[in-house]
Order: sequence, then C-alpha cells, then structure tokens
Amino acid sequence: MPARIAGSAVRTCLGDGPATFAALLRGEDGVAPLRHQDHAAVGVTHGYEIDDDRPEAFHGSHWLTACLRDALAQSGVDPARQRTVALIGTGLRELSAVEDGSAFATERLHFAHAVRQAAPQTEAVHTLAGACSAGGHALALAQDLIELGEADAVLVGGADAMTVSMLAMIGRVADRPADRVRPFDAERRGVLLGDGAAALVLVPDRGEGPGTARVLATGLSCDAVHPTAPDREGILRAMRQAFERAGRAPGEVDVVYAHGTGTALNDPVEAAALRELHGSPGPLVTAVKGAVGHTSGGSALLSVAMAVHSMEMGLVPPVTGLRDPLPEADGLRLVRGAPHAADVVTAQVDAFGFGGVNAVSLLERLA
Amino acid sequence: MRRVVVTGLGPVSSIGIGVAAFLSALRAGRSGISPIAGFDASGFPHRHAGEVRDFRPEEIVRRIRPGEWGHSAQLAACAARLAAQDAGLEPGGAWADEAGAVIGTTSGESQVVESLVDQQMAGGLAGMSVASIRQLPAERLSYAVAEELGLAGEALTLATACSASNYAIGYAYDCVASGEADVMVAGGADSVCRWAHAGFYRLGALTEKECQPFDATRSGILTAEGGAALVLEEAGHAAARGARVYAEVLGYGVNCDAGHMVSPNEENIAACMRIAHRKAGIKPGDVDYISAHGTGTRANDLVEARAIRAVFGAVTPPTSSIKSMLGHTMGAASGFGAIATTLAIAEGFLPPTINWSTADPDMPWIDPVAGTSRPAEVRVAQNNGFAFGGNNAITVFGAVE
Amino acid sequence: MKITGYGLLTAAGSTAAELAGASAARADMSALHDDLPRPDACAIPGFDIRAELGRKGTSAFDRATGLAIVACGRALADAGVQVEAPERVGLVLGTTEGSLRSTMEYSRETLVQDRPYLVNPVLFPNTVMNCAAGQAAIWFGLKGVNATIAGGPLAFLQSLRYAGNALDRGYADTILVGAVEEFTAHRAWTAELAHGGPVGEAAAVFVVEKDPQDRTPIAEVPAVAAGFGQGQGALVSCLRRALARAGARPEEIDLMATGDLPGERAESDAVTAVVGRDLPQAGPGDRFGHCGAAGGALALAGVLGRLGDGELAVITGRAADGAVAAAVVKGRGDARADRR
Repeated sequence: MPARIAGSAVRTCLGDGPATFAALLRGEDGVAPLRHQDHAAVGVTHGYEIDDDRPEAFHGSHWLTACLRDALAQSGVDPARQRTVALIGTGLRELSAVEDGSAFATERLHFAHAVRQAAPQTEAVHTLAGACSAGGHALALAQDLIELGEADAVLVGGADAMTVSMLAMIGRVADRPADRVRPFDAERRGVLLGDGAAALVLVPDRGEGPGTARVLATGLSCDAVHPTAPDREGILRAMRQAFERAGRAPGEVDVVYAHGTGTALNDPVEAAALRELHGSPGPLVTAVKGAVGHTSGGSALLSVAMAVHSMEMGLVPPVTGLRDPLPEADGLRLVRGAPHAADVVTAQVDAFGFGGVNAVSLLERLA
Repeated sequence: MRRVVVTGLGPVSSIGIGVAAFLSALRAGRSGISPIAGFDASGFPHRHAGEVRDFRPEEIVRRIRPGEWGHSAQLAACAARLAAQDAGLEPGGAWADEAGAVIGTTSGESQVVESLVDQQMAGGLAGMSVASIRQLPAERLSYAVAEELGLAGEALTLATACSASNYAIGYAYDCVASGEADVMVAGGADSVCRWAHAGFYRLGALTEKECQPFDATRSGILTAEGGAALVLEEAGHAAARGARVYAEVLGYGVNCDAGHMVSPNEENIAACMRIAHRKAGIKPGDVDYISAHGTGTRANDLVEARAIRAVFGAVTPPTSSIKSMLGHTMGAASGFGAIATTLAIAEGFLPPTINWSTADPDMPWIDPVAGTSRPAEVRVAQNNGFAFGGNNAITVFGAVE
Repeated sequence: MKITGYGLLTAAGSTAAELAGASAARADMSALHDDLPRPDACAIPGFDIRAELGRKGTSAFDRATGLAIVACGRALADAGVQVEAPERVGLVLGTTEGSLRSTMEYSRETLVQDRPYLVNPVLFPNTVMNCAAGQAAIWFGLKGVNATIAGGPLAFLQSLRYAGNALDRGYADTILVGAVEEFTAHRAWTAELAHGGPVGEAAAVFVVEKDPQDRTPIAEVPAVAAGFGQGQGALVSCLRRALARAGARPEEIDLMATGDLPGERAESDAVTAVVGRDLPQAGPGDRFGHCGAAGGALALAGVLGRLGDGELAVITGRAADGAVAAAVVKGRGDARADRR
C-alpha cells in the first residue's frame, strides 16, 4: 500500500513548519552572527541558529522530540495501538554534546531517547548516519516498511545541531567564509550550517485520514567518485531511479526542492543534472538553504515538509539569497524575488551527501 | 455625462483622524503602527498592527448611537461625518434627500464575528447573543453612514475585499455622473481582527513591525483598520454652493483576474489600468502620480511594478504606498489611497513610502518617493486597489481648473 | 436590462414554474450537523459540491461557494452563454456576510489551536465575503466586473441595480447577477435566535444583458431604485422612482413580490399606496425559510414563474435599518415555460 504523509513538522531558525514556510514566502532568512560558537576558533562567523530556550546539551534531540510530537498529533497515529517504527537520519548524531563534554552516556548519541520522549511505545528506533541525505535515505526505508506491511506507522526524522567540528571544516574549506547562503547565485560563497530537525509520520494510504501527500518513491545512488565533490552522473542515477520506481515521467514534476547548498561545486552540478533531466522549460525550482542554512540530517525531510506546504497552498517560495543565477542554471525556472503561484501536484526533493550518497524523493498530492 | 468632484474628506486612521491630522502625517511620513491592543496577540510571532488609537466615536457622531453598531460601522459613520463636515454639508439638509452612501469592506463586522465566536466557545451556537447577531450584517456599514448623515438615497455595501473602496468610489461616481444623485458619500471601513492576522501570517504575507513597500527586503503587510470617506458631488452643485473642490473624479476601471484567489496577476492588473485610463479619458503619459496598492508583500509589489512598467513604458510616474504608514486597512485601503491622491492633487505634493531604504533590482524603474513627501504638481493621478478573489479596481483623479 | 436565462438551486425546485406558489419541503438536516436549533430546515439536503463539480479544485470550497458556482453554471447553460470574450462577462453576487460558518470557524481555530496562527491557509479566502464571486470567476473564467454586495434581505435587488449600472456604463456586455445563502448550523442558529423561524438555503443567478444579440429575453428589468429612511415613506418614494424610471403607470402593474413575511404588510401597503389597489402577491414569504440575501432572487424567480408577456410586476425589499429597494419587471415571451 502506498505511503501517505499523515503528519509533518519542523524546527528551524525560522520557527515551526507554518512559521518557516511563511518566512520562506516572505523571502526572509534566519542568518545571524553565531551566538554559541567562537568565531575565530572555527573560522566561521555566521550561521542559522535556532534561538530558543534550548537545554544545555542534546539540542538535536530536543528539536526532534518537539517535531515528533507535532507530527504525531497531526497524524492521529497512536504508537500504543499501532505498530510504530522510527527511522532517524542524521549527519553527526549528537556530536555537539560530545564536543562540549556532556555526553558520556553513549546511548544518547543516537536518537532513541529523543523518539521515546515523544512516543514511548515505538517498537524500534534506528538512527541512520547518512550525512546530508540521511533524511532521504530514512524516507526510502520508511516507504518500504509501509509498503511491505512491516509497520502500521513509521516516524521518519532527521536532526543535527551545529558542531564545532563541522563548523571548523567549513571554515577551512572556504577562502573567505560566507555571511549567508546564496543557492544557485553566481556569487555564492559556500554553505553555512543551520540548526534543525524535521519529522514525518508515514502511514499506509487507505484514501482517507489526515495528510495531503503521498511518497511516490525515492531514488538512491552512490557516486563512488569523490568523497565530497558531487558527481552529475551519480545524481542523475538517483533522479532517474526515483522516476522509474514511481512510474512517473520528469515532465510531470511541478516543482523541485533542490539540494542547493550555495557551494562552488554543488549548485552547477545539480543545475546541470536538473537541466538534463527536465529539459527547458522544466518545473519550478526552489531551495530553502538560503533561508535556514544547511540542516544536514534534517535537510531532506525539511524540504519534503516545505514541498507539502507548497502543495497545500499552491505557492512555491522564492530561493532566499538568490540574486543573479549562475550561468549553469540558464534555462532552469528558479523562483526569484516573490512566491510563484502554482498548482503543485508532483514534487521532487533532492538531497546529496558527503561520500557521494544521493537521495531523490518524489511526492504526490493526494486527490 | 456630468462632472464629479471631491468636496469632502473624512479619514479615521492610525495616522490621524480628520483631514488636517491625516494630511500632516502624510506629509511627514508618520507611521501608525503599534503593538496590537485590540485582541490578545501574545501567541503570534508578529504582534504589530495599524490600529486607530484614541478612537472615540461618541465624540464624532451625532445621530447614531455607537453602541448599537459594530466597530466597522462606527468607523464608517465617523469617517462619513467628518467628510460631510469637511464638505460643509449639514447632515439632514436638503442635499441629503437624494444623496446616498456606498461603503466598501473586506471583513465587515469582523469584531462582531469574533464576539460571536467567544460566545460560541462559552455556550455553543445557542449561546450567541441576539444583540451581536443584530450587529453582524455587513450591510450596516453603509446604513450607519446613511443614518448618521440622514441620507435618503441609496445605501450600498460593497464587499469586494481589499479593493472595495475603489469599487465604492467608482459606483458612487457613476451615480453622480449619470444624474441619479448630486451627492454621494463613498469609502470603506474595516477593523483589525485575530483571524485575518492569523490568515495573513500563514500565507507568508505578514511582516513583523515595518511595512516596506517596493523595498528589496520587503516581507509583507501589517494588518490595520480604519474608516475612509469622500464626498463626491456634481461639479455644478458644488460650484453653486461655493464648495471647496479638492479634485475631480475622472473615472475608474474594474476587472477580475479569474485566475487565483490570493496571487495577483500582472497582465490583468495592467489591463485594469488600461480600462481605467480609457474610462477616464486619459493616456498613461498624463499620469503624474500613482498611489500604489503596494502592500509590501514580495508578490504584490513585484507584480504591480511590472504591470506599471507594461502600461507606462520606460518612464513610470512616482509610485508610493501609504500602506507603509497605515498598514493594510483592507476594505478601507483604497479609500485612504483616494484621500491621499486627492490631497496630493489639491496640495501639490507626493505622499511618501516610508521604511524604504534599498532599491529592488527587479524593479529599478520604481520611484517610491522614499521617506518624506515631495512637492510636486499633480494634474492627474491614479489610485490602485487589488484584492483577494482577483477583484482589481483603479480610480483616476484630476486637478480642477 | 434584459434577462436571458437563470439558474436556481432551492429546496422547492430549480425552475421558476416550480417556485411559483410552491413551498419548500422541510428537510431533516440533522445528519449534516448535530448542533441545530431544530432538525428541519428549508435546505437542499442532497447538495454535494463534489458530486456537482467534481473533486478537482473543489476541496477548499465552502457550501456557499459551491452553491454559487453551480447556480452560475446553470444560468450560463440556460441562457446559452459561451464565455468567448471573458473580459466582457461580469458577476455580481449578493450576500449577507459571506459564509458565516467559514468565518466563525476560522476565527475559532485561532483560539483552539496550540498556537493562534495554526489556521489552515487554504481556507483563509473563505473568510472574505467575495470568496464565492472570486471562485466562480475562476471556475468560469469571468474577467469582467466582479462585485459582491453585502445587503442581506436587499442584497439581490441591490445587486440587480449594480449590474444594471455596470451594463449601462459599458463595464460588461453580459452579467451574471444573483445571490446565495448557505445552510449551516451557524445560520440555523442566527436565524432561530434573531427571527425565530427555520433557516432557508438557496442560490439564484440570472443572466442579464443590455442588448442580447442572439438570445431571446425572458423578461426585462426596466428599472431598479433604492433608498433609505425610516417609516413607510422611504419605500413609497423608492417605488415611485422605479415606476417613473421604467415609464410605467401605477395602473399597469399586474403583480407584486414583496419581502413581507406572513402577517406583515409594511411592503405590500407601500405597493398598494403607490398603485392604488391590492395586487396578487408572488413574494416568497416564509415558504422557503429565512433565505437572507437569496430572498430577493427567489422573489424574481417567483415573478418570472407567473408573469405573462408584456405584464408588469414590482419587487420590493426592505432592511431592518431602513434601506429599501424596488424593481420593475416586465414579462417577455413565456418565462413560465419550463425550458429544461
């Protein structure tokens, strides 16, 4: 049975899901000088931090629990009565808690504790460390569990809090660290991190109940070319596999929520892949990282949640931070300046990670 | 066709009540935005609006009892009373026998609706009060005006959302031009309410504290309220009684997008401008000033700017949005726009767009009259109004010889 | 202005002939709502938006919007209007306060949700009174003048007058003019508490044209007048203006349709005062329940069902606060014939 998204929730620097989508439509971003990090030590000055009354440590768990509670409430799923499994994607798990010396209990490095805070009766919790496409991988497995009848409901989550190590890496890669993310911009200067978590509740689609979209398919691939540089062929393999699995054609897609990290390498390669797959004029293309930063393990599901909002409202937000598109994006219908009204039935969500792991998901609005 | 002139103005707004206060705020570029007091906004991320502080209807109206009318009707009646006073027309005089009232609104008695909801929460639908139900119908906005001024002509409430005042002015203009009436009072009224605040927030159309029309960093509207009224009068009738004339109503255009309930459409807005110009007997080159719909949302301002460019070509007239000062007063918005346009013509200045600092590279042709007003001779000006449902309406005003 | 077709959705039928003299069946509506002041109402129990209009694009429609669109579609089909020049086709729709249910429920959501902004953005346009007119314009691609008139019991006559002006001033060649009022628990209760009677539900839309080229008018509306004032005088002078503008002499009037409820005579007394004799009554009375804005439209439908070729009728309306309106209608051909 197809998998319906019965609930979705996010936490970003811009707030919960409705607040984040509203801010995307307004063209706003949550970038600011880093409050919780030593700028000189990490070599990065800006980021998309969540400014909340966070606990001392285990921030990712804190946000993930909140998302799971929201998403479960929307879905009407009761893990005490329905066989519920949780799959949580993450880049670095609770590494930030290790860095600041809070984590000596290793069982809290993954997210079982966070899940059980929201849904104690969840049968099993698996944490998938799949870098920046981890959420997409979790979604693919969740769909399998639903389609095979292995679970009545799957909680699909993604979470990462900023870590000193990842910040320091960004600080060392860039000549001059960016002060904001500009996806697909000719003068982009790289990625910045964003705090964030996202959660979906997947259930078998019986044609009724809460939710506005179903997951059609996720295509997975590994470049096997380079540890960090994206590869056009690898990305295209994931995209084509998604369409093949879904039994859909690229021409049916109304909007692409791109990976769009604003790095020198990702954006031209992703743009080229999208152009090759969709031709010109292809679907509308937007990306969220200019507004909320790169939320790593949560990023794929965050884009999924925003794509669902687009389906519900018939509006595609502009690419925050984009001024002049890079030449490789010539022919792509990047949404610029203002939201684009569109009847969004089918959406494509891209997520690519270090290690060349790619996940491309296709969603469809329920009739 | 008879000529129609504007002889009285009645603004009841967050930047001033009465034409003198409104005019000085308009010239200075004053903001009427403040933390919301009209409802509990504590749960909202954005908590500012353009409320009419110091609104004491009992000090303005003389014939209606404010307590018998909803807040929007009170705003309409007060605006009308001030406009009649400004025009030198004594309520209940002979002029009123065939004079009518046309009032536009988006949400009618929205605060009465919210009272009913509070009553429903407490005691179910059966617990709604008859007094509130009696105040509910939106038709009462124009009836409050008719009652307050003793008008015996047609009383009409137009509910074409955020362009409703322009619809009202257009219809009132027709009534005077065709000889149905010598005098009509036209305008609009709306009240701030929780539900509209929530809806605009969810649509990504509500900014936090400052409305920045046409600015590169604009991020939405601020909800607001007010009552706006204009006295429209047959030119000969006005001359015969020695009335002061602000401007002439040259005509109006209306059309409908028939495309999307909330997203504006460039082509249809441009078409509406062309209809307005044709009906007013002017060419784009005649227009010295555009009072923009200029809500401050990403979409509206871009679409409106492009439509202006499509109609006016490379050189577009100065285009400002008084919503930067007032917020979005919904059904009253184009009424305030009409008052500002009329004052611009009569007083020789361009009302400003405040909170503007960064040009949007996607609309470099827009001169928003940033910051404070600018002296200028305004012979012909147009007042844009667009709305949910695709209800576009544009009024055109001209200087009187 | 000439009427070239109409579309009706009422509890008593969908043709003028069916409406003339008929009473609406009272349907048990308690299956639709469990919180009703009385189980029965003069509503259209079988009305189902998705059955009428399909699933695509209709999920956000409230009942008022669905009724308006179906009535518009029937009117266009009845008149045989093909929307070939969309910018020349307009829509003028009467209402009381839009969909009270949509608006109150939206407002209620801001109180009952965890956070007040967790309302459904898709339903926001339903809280605005021009929702039905805007959605109908989208459905049929009507790009001409699009007005919503909030007039309660007078809404239809006011809409008719607005449409007449828009035709005269060249804002459209063809206008759909009508009024709609939905059945909901909210309206059932407001009707019960304010009027003490059963609520009604109806949508009626007429196609009006200044100069129909290839369609045969079924009636003409030579004049609609409006005014305001307390006491009987306001309606009397309004009627006189309407007759004068129509070029009709009082003795030529054959029929009246007033907004009087059973036991009321305020409007029919005004008619009698003007025409000098008692006329047969074609007004809806309480036969269709409290239909609010749609009342005047049902009066016109009732008149069309009884008016012979060349005969004249007056339709009147009066609001509690003193607003009045009157229309003169002239029969053309045989409007009584069931043309479906």
